[in-house]
Amino acid sequence: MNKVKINGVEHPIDADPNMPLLWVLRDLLNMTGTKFGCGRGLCGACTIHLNGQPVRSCLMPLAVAFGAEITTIEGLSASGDHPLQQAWLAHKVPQCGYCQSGQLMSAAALLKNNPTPSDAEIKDAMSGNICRCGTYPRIEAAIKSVAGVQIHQPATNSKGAI
Amino acid sequence: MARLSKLNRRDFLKMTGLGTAGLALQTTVSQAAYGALALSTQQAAASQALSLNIFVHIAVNNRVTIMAHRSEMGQGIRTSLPQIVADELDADWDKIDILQAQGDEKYGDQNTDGSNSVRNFFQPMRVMGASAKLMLRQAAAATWQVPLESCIAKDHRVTHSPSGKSLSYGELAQAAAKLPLPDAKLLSFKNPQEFKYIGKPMAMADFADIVRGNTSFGIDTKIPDMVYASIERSPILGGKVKSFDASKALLIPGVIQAVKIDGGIEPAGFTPLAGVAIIATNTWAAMEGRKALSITWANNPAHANFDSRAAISKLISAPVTEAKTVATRGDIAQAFATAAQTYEATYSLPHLEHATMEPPAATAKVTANSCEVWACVQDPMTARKLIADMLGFKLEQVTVNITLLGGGFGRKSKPDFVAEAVVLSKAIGKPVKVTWTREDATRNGYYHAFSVQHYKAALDAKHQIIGLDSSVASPSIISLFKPDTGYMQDWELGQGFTSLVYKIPHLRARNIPVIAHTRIGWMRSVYNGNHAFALNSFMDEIARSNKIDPLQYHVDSLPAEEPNDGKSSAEKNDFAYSPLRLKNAIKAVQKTSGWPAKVNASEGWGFATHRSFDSYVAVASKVSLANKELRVLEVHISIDCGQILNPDRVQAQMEGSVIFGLSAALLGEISFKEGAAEQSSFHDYPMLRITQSPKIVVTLISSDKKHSGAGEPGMPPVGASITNAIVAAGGPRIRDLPIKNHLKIG
Repeated sequence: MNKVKINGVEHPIDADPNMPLLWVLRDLLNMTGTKFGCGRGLCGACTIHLNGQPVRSCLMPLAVAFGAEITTIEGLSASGDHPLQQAWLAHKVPQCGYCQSGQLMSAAALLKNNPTPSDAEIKDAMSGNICRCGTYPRIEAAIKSVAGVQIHQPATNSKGAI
Repeated sequence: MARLSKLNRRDFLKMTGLGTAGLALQTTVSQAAYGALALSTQQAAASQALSLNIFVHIAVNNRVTIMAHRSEMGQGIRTSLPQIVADELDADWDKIDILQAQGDEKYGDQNTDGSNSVRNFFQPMRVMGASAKLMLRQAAAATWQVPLESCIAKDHRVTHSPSGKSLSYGELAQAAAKLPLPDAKLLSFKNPQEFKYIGKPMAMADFADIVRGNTSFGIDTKIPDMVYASIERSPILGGKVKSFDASKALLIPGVIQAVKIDGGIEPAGFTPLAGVAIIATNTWAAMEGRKALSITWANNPAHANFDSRAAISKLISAPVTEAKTVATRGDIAQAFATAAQTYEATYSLPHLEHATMEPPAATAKVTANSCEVWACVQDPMTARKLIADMLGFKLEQVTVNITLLGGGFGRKSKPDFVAEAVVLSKAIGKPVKVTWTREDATRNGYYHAFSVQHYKAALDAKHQIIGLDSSVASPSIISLFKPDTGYMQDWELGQGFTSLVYKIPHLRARNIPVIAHTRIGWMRSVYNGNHAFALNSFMDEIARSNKIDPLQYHVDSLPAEEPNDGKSSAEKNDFAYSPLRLKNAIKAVQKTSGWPAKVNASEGWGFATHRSFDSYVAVASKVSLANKELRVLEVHISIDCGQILNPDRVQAQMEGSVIFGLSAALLGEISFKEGAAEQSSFHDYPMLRITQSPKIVVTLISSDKKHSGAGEPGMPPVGASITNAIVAAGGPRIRDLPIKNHLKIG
């Protein structure tokens, strides 16, 4: 059986290799922090990290994940204290919260690859994530508050999903 | 920090049941004492007679559990209402557990809609907190055999001040539980100066779960033996399944079966649309199976030719042949006979869809004598009644679990998606989760009504409006529930069309009938957005054509005095229209924006204002048309919504209303061709993105008036503030939304 490494833990998966990772996570592994928004890569709600890069899991077939490292919102930090998670709390960013997993994963990938982004780089990196409640001003402020602060590596603890 | 309780209902009932420790308070408060509901849906009207039962439980371990009976969709209500109870109870916020209530009429009105929650429940929540506190003090007085007055409640303890004796709420809970509920006349409430949580920017209790992805929305439900459904629905209102072939779908791994859903009833209400469901072992297999379906539809010819753009164009160009006069004042003919000048314009707005980020989703488990559902519902009581009626059950046989809502905006007040899950679970004898796709949500919505409005003004020599002759054509929400006459309801017209706030001595307002060809539903701010766009555009046109500052024109058009209805100021209803409060809101954005501010070339400022849901809002926006594309640079918004329970959430609602209003005005259009919606997802029905999000400056006006709405009133003036700014920046006057049909959006 094929195995997929998610948040540091190997999961044996018996599924069609074409099944999008989004549904593998949500329906097969019951990791529902990653959200379905459109299924077309247009809204960013399903953003996860594949080998450290942000990808839309609704478009990413399971086969791509064989041998790769997947990080989801559940594994962004070991105890939910990634600087961005803390900044999201400090800035009271969420409203309904549905898109915020994807927002956080996009923001975390941005800062990992570019710890001191410009305002334009922040907006550009976050432009694929729709928030219908309109939390954009606070997302931007929260990211700016962390930009330049050292970011932890994504957790790879032994327990997997936190 | 208050925390969300992870207890399930059965555990909570055990905890609060007879014979267990603790004070469980279930106060009944007559809702009549707190004013009528403002929303006029049939469902809300039916619930007005109900009394309120709101649960507070104080456990011997000193934890206080507060039932959150309204639906949480980001407005923060399941944090804000407990703030009130905790404050009047003098409880420690860190010892509060918040438990989401199920849908049950014992909680009173749970229809989380119409910006009503704080308006209707501020006082009942205070009564709840104050009642519990009095009982704890009474229990302490009896325990120590001292006068009640000497027992002071503070910080989760009651202290006998002369002796210094002190007991925690948990220690007093059992004794308090034996006392009768105190007479409401004995209750004392805090002065606003004493508030500890009310009026403070408390963090939503849900935040910690949200940032960890540890939330349960409707779409996240998973129960044992559950299967997954995806449904292909009739794209045209009233369509039915003539025949279907699922043979190819059944070959797809994971697909279990296909189930035909009879439906397509008109008026549709919340009944399921006709369609074919694919049942599978996971969501993806169900969606893939659906793609392999072949369905022949039997359409209703009355709707199958609907072309919304053609319908709007016809209403713009056609003279009024049939209309009902819905408001009059003075002598409109006389006003035009004596006018120094007249001005005329027609405005239109298209259908919109709510586009909640979480599409509708519901899970149902139907057995021979029970039904339990888990769903993202704004109106759980209506869902419960609908299910009971569908199954021939009593209400008690139906359990509705309210999940978090990934956006609501009115869409999730309509439980058609819950009905679908119930139909399917009954049909196959298993629990079923129905997940809507983005395409489903976009193509089979409960659409915000399009609107065509014509305004003609008679002006005096000083350019003041002395006569206003207006008409509106817009499909009515009542078409969802009753045979359609095409006429709007009074409350729909009252959302800014007949309820004008300006001093116009002569007016005539007419309603031109227009038949609905799709399901019409209420969306954030409902008809207010349509009416505010047209009137604010019209006032701006008149002002600019006469070289008058548009913001000042609004101020000068408002009555100088508060309405004189013969009542003393103490007797006046806090919700009575106040020109002064509107002027204060206008002044606030005038101040923050520096209006009339200087701008660079290709930039301009626009203004708009509107009162809705008893709140007063003004907006000033700055745009740029540089490089021949529209960029919204700044939006300044002010609100007077009376006293403020949680200023952070009101500010968040204002930020959200601006973004929501910009999405609608700049980008929003659902058009119908041959009866079906032409858009399907975010590529052809786009939402504002962070790159398009302007600087937003919010002013919350401090007020001692009663709480009024906050979720919706921010949105209505946003659109016109932008189109007015476009003119100021040297661009065209846009009378027909969305703006993207006229200008490139940057």
